[in-house]
Amino acid sequence: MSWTSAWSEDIPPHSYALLRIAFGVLGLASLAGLTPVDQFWSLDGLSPLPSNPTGPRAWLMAHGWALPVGWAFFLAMLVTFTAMTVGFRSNLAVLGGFIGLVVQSHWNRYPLSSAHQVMIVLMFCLAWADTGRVWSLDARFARSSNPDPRVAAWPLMLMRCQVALIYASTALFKLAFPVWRDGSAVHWAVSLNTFHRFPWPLPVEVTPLLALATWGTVMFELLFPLFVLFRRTRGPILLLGVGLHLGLALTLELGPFSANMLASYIAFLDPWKTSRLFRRNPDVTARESAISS
Amino acid sequence: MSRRIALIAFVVWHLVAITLDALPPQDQLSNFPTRTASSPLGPWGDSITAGFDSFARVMVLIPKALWWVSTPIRPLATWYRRVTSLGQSWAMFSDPPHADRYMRTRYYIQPRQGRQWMATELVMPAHREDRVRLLQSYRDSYQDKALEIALVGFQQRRKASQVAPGTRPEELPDDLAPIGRYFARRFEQRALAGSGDRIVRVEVWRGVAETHKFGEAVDTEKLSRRFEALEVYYDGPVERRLNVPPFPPYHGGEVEADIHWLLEYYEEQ
Repeated sequence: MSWTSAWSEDIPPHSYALLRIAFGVLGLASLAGLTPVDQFWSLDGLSPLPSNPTGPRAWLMAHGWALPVGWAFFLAMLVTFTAMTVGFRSNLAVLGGFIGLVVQSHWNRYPLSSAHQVMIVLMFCLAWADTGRVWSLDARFARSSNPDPRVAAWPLMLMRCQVALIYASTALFKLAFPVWRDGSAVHWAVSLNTFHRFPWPLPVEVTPLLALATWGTVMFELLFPLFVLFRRTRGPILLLGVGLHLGLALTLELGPFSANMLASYIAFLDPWKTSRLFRRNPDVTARESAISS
Repeated sequence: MSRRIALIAFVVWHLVAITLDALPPQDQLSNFPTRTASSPLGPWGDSITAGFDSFARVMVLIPKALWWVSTPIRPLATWYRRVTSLGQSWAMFSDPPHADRYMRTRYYIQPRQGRQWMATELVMPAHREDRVRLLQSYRDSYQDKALEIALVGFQQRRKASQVAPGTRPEELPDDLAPIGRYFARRFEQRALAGSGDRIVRVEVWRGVAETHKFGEAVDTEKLSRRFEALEVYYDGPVERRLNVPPFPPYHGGEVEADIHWLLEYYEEQ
């Protein structure tokens, strides 16, 4: 299959459903991290002061609405991510999730890391897809079943490009700084007291390993966009990525960043193979295989 | 057919717009200082470093060229990204700090009767750094991020001329104000409720302690002394009722083990 036809073909909807569920769960996990509500959602919590004294933020604070509106926003996000996870009004829930994440970054940017921005850019891609055709309450309660449930592939391809761009960009940023070129960056990162997962300092003997991890990370991130293009190299580079993000999660407390990046890898799985996950009815498999051929 | 063309146009435009934002800024593409010290890894480390330096000099030509080529469409691309909130700054850990970072808040309390006393609370890192970070640290990471972003914003907006002993809080950027106010309010609710005591001054201090250098062994004694100094904070705000020092000047300093504290922000009520 050529690169051009990959964008225009129709694919089974299961990849989108899996992405919807994954980002729904990760959204709920990020809400759990952003508690207590008065700390991160109230405008008088750990949140920037109003820049405009006559603006809506200032008005809400002056009239005692800082916490009630914060609670309302938190609960709205909770409902939205729950709806995404279970697939209730799936497409609306994904769109609502995207809009909610954007509003959240304007509401209180202080506690939000790159993990939040990863969610925003990937949810933007997902918002164009039909995510509720399968593995959802929508599908369960649908009155008529569609004999050909295939959906457009281009949002999935857009998401692949977005993930590849994240890696290419971060590699270029890293190459621009001397610490990534001299092999010391991972040493500085794992030593930071606000991030390291284990309190024990690393022995000096592991210095060469830290240097190799530094250079290996840059090379991985540079090569990722190239290697995911080709079916033959896609699997190995994704496996390396899984190893990288698990390694990051094991050594550094980065909040939901590693999980968000790993969830994005669902977009790189073969949609036809994804559609056969959790399959119990061989008759359906045979029928859908006939359709896809 | 027209729908298909519109779709292709949208996808192409979207990819161009987000790619332009993902490029490192121009001023970060010439960071190639002369390397005076040898790599602690030895000659092979020097060789690989030299190789990466040369490779990077070539690679930065790509974003430089893209910056130049994209000049006419960049304003439109910026507008598109702002409308869609699809900012693409992926500079995570590109220049990791070479020092451990801390933040503490200090409250001066005036009782209904008697002398003023003070309490100091360590607020960053939110999780004890001498313990393994497991589940609770996931939540704590959000607090650390909030304080870090507030501090970075504050330092970017504060003018050099404001770093002077007589600087008043109203002259300073307000990025750290919510930090001081939130923790002061929490302290008030937990420790002063119903007592009639009131907080008259809140301070936000930033602490820095040097990280051991790349390729060098950790000074475990120094680290132990630091953990001992931090230990007192882990049971909650540290109260001082006797020999309360006078208010420090703005940007005044204190030292605890190898942590150097600086007063970054304060408010008086």
